[in-house]
Amino acid sequence: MRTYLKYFFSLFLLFETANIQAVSFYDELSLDQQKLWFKLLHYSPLRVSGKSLADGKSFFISPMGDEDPKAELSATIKAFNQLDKKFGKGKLSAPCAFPARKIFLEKNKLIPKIDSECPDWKRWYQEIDPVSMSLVFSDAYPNNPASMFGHTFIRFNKKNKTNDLLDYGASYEAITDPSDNAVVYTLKGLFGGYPGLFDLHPYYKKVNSYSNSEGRNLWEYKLKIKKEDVLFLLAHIWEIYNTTYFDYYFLDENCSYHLLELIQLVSEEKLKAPLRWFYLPRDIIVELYKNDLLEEPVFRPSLKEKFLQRFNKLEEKEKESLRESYKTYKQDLTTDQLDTMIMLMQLDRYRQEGELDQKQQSYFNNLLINRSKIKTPKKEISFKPTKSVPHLGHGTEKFSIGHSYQHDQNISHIFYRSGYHGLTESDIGYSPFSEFTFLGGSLTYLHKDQKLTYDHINILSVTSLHPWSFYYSQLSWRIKVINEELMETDTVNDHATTSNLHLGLSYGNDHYILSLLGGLKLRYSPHFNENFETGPSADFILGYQFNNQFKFVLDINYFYNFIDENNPRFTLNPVLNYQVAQYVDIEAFYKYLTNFNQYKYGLNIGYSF
Amino acid sequence: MFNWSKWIVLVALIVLGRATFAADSSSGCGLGWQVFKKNSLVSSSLRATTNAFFLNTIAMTFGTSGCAKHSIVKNDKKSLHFLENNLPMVQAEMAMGSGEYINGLAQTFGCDENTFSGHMQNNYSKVFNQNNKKAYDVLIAVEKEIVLNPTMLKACGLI
Repeated sequence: MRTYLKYFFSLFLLFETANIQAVSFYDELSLDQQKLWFKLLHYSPLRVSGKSLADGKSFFISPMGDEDPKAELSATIKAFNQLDKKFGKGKLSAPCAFPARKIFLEKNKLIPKIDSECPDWKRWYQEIDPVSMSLVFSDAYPNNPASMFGHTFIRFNKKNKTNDLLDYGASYEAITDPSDNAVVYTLKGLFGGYPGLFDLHPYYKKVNSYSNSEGRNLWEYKLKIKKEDVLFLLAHIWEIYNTTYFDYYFLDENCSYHLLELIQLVSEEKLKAPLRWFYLPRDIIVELYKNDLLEEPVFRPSLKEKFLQRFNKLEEKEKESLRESYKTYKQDLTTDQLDTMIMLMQLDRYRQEGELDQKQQSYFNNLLINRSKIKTPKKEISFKPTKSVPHLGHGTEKFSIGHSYQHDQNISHIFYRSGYHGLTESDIGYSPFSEFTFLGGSLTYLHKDQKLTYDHINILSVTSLHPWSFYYSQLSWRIKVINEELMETDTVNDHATTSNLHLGLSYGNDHYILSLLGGLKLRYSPHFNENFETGPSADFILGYQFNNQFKFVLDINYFYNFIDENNPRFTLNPVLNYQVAQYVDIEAFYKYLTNFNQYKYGLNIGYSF
Repeated sequence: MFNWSKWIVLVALIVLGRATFAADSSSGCGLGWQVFKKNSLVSSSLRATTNAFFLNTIAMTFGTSGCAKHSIVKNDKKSLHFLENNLPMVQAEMAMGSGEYINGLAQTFGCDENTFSGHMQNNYSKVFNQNNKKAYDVLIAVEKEIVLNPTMLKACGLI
C-alpha cells in the first residue's frame, strides 16, 4: 500500500506541484540509501564551490542538482515519468540516460518497474556482458614522468570467457590536447584544464599499450563484489558517458581518485585512500586490499618479461648462440630458441613502433615461416611474478628516527620524506633498484654541542638503473638536488647545496646491480673559498637484494673539483637495509670522505605509510 | 552435401567487394575516437562534435565503426579491429601455432580455437604472404582460409 502511495505521489509531481513530496521521499530513504544517492551524484568534500565533482551540467536534471540532492531526487523522479524529455549527448529518455539511477529508484520503490526500450544502452552492456570486475595495476613506466607511479584501471570480466583479451577495460583518463606544449600541459593538468572521462576499450588495447609497447607488467585483482553491483557500476559509467565529465586534476581528482569513487558506490566500507600530495594508484590497491575487497592478483607479464623468463630457461650454450644469431641473423635455431627469438624480434618491432628495418624484417619473415613448419607447440612457461606486486610494497611517505656518530659526538635525528621509494629500501612493490624521493629532510640534535640543526633537505633524487643487455640497450641515470651537511668541515652544522646529473650503464638483474655513471656536479656553500665548486663526478653503485628483507647498497662517488684543491674526492657510502615488516625497516649506514678523513655512521628505524 | 558453388560465389563477392573497399576501410576503424582526442572538450569544437562523439563512443568501444561493411562472418568487424590492434602478436602466434592472441582471433570468428590455430599455422605462408601487410589483407586471407575449407567451416559453426 505504501508503495502505491509513493507511485501516486511521484505521478503527482508531473503536475508541477510543490516539491514537498519528493523531499519527503528523500527523507524517507534510509541513511545508507541517502549516502548512495550522494555518491551517485558525486558530491564530494573536495569541491570548494557546489557539492558535486561532475562538471558536465546535463548530469543534473534539476538546476540545483549539483548542490541539492533533494531537488535532484525530486527532478529525477519527475523525469522518469516524462519519457518524452531527452537527456545528455545521446538525447535519451531518463531511464535510458540514467540506468543506475533507474536501479536506485526502483530498488527504493520510488518509481514502479519500468520496462523501457533502450537499444543503445542494451547493446552496450550486452556486448560488455560482465559478471565480475578486476582492478588492474600497471607497473611504473620510468621513461615517462607522468607514469612514474604506475596506473590503475578496471576490467569487466565477460560471462563464460576463455580469453581475457576480449574483455573490456575502462580507465579514467584526461582528454588532453596534443597541440598543448609541456608548460600548458602541466598547468592545465594541475588546475583542471582537461576534462576527464571513463574511456572504454577492448582489453587487448590496454595490454598492447602497457604490456607490449611499454614493457609494463600488469597485476589483475578481481574485486569481491556481486554481479548486480558490477552491472550497477557499468550503468553508472554509462550515465557519466552520456551526460558529464570531470575536470581532471593530475594531483587529486585523478584516475585513482575516480576509480575509488566508482568502487565506493557498491562498497559498504568507507574507502579512503590517503590524499597525500597526490592520489597514488598503489594507495587505492592497498586500501581495497586492506578492506578485503580484492582477491590475490593475477600476474600478466609484459612482453619484455616473457621474453626474459623464456630466455633464462635456455641452456647457457643456447643463450650464447641466440645472442650470436641476433647479431648475425643466423637461422639455425632449435625450436625453443626460435620461439625466444620470435619474442625478441617482437620486442624490437614494438620498440620501433611496428616497423622493423628491411634486413630485420626479412630475417623475421623467414623465422616465422620456418616456425610455422614445426608442429611442436611452444614450450609453456609458468611465468614467475616479479617483485613489483603493488599491495605488498612499503608505504610511500616515511618517518624515521635514528642515532649517529660524527666528529666525536652523538647525534639524534628525526627524518621525514614525502615520497616515494628510496634506493636502499626493499624493492618489493616497486621497480628494482630505482629511487624517486622528494621533499624530505632530517632534523638533528647534536649532543655535545647541545644544538638543534638539520642534516639534509632533499628536494629531489631520482635514480633509474636499467641493466644494459644485448636485447635492451637502455641508459641508467641519476639526478639529485639536495642541501646536506658538509662533511669537509670540522663541525656538524655546515651545509652545501649539491645538484648533479649522471648518466651511465648498468649490469645486473632484479637481484643485483652494478652501475657506473658519470656527469657533472655543482655545489654551493658559503664555506667554500669561491662559494661554489664544480667539476666532473662519477658514481659507482653496487646493489644487492639478498632476499625480500635484506638489501645492501654501496654508493661510491668520485668528484674532481676544478675550483678548489683536495682532489680527487672519494665518498664511500655503504648502507644495509632490513625490512622488518611491510611498513617498518631498519637501516645501518656509514659514510666516509677519504681525503678529509671524515666519517659518520648510524642507525635509523623507519615507518612508512 | 556441401555446396561448393555457393561458397565460390561468396568468396568471389568478398574478394571483389573487398578490393574496392580496402582503400578506405582499414583506416576507418577507431578513427572517430582519434579525431575526438585531437579536440579538447573545453574547446568550442566540442559542441559541434558532441552528438557524433556519443554515437561514435558506442561504436568505437566495440571496434566496429567505419570498418568493413561486407560481412560474411557474424563478428567480421570485430575480427578486423582485433587484427588492427594485434597484428604483430597474431602473426607470431599463427606461426607458432598457439597462444592467447591466435585464440582471441579464433573467438572473434566464432571458431574452435585448436582447429583454427592448427589450420592457420599450416597455412601461415598464405595468410602472411608478401602482399598481405595490413590487417585488412590478413583478414581477407584468413576468411578465405575459413570459407574454402570444409573442416574450418564446420569448426567456425558456418555449416
